[in-house]
Amino acid sequence: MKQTDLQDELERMHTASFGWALLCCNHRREEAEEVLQTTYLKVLEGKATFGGESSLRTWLFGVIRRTASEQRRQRWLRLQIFDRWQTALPVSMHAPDPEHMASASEHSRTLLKALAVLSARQRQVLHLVFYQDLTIEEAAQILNLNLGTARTHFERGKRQLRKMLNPSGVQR
Amino acid sequence: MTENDHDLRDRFAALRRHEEAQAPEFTALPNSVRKPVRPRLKVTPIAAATCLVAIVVAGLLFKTPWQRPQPQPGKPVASILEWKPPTDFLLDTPGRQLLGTVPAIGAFQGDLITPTPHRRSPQVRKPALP
Repeated sequence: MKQTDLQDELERMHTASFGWALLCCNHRREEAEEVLQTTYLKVLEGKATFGGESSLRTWLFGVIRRTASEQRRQRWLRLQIFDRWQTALPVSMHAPDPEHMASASEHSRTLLKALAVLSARQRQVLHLVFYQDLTIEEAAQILNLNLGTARTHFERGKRQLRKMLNPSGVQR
Repeated sequence: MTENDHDLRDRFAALRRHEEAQAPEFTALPNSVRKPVRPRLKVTPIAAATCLVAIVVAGLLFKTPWQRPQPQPGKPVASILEWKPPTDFLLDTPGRQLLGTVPAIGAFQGDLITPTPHRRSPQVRKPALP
């Protein structure tokens, strides 16, 4: 694929990629932008090359997920080495961004709070299926999971999410 | 996914609309992509080998062989047996002569206090019973 075609494709998928990057970064906007920027650099500089085994979107989402993991590891390491002497209270790396929560509507805020309780895998599978309109097979490819495992995460996550969103106990 | 998942799908769709509105412009993100890429320094194996050979040759050329120091003709050389270290006096500690000799039994004429003759304690004689 040519560089210009690649850039066009990245631009076409940009908003969806941003949504996925947000989820991978626990809805922290600055981190998501950084992850997205690094991912685009990797793609356009040829450090991450599309082999054609899956769709471009699936592959790109996989690169975003790996980049987010790398940056999270680096941030954790930095926190361990440099910030342990600082007197400021440590900011949790898993809590959703309060700014993002505040700007969201009541409906979305409830969903974000409920998602934060789920495991990372369940959250990611549900996001990919419901938010990104992907199939469970594609979600499994992105997350590098077996199809059965992805399906289990999907079903359990869905059940738990519904329980939290509908505490009255309406099981559908 | 079942048809009953529409409730969840609707909630996620609302979240997506909210987040899409907040997404940064694509043109704003990849600015750094267009930054000039630094040309990577390519060291070919031939150049590396040439440098290595040059270093070895230079080392061989400028190497000065180690020479044993020769005695100067007019200066007498002291024997190792006659040499005394300048800090030798520190080894003479007080009482060294006493510690270095083994005393013979009975031949000591020093100031030791002669032991007093042992006196037996007086015994009280018990009176005989009638």
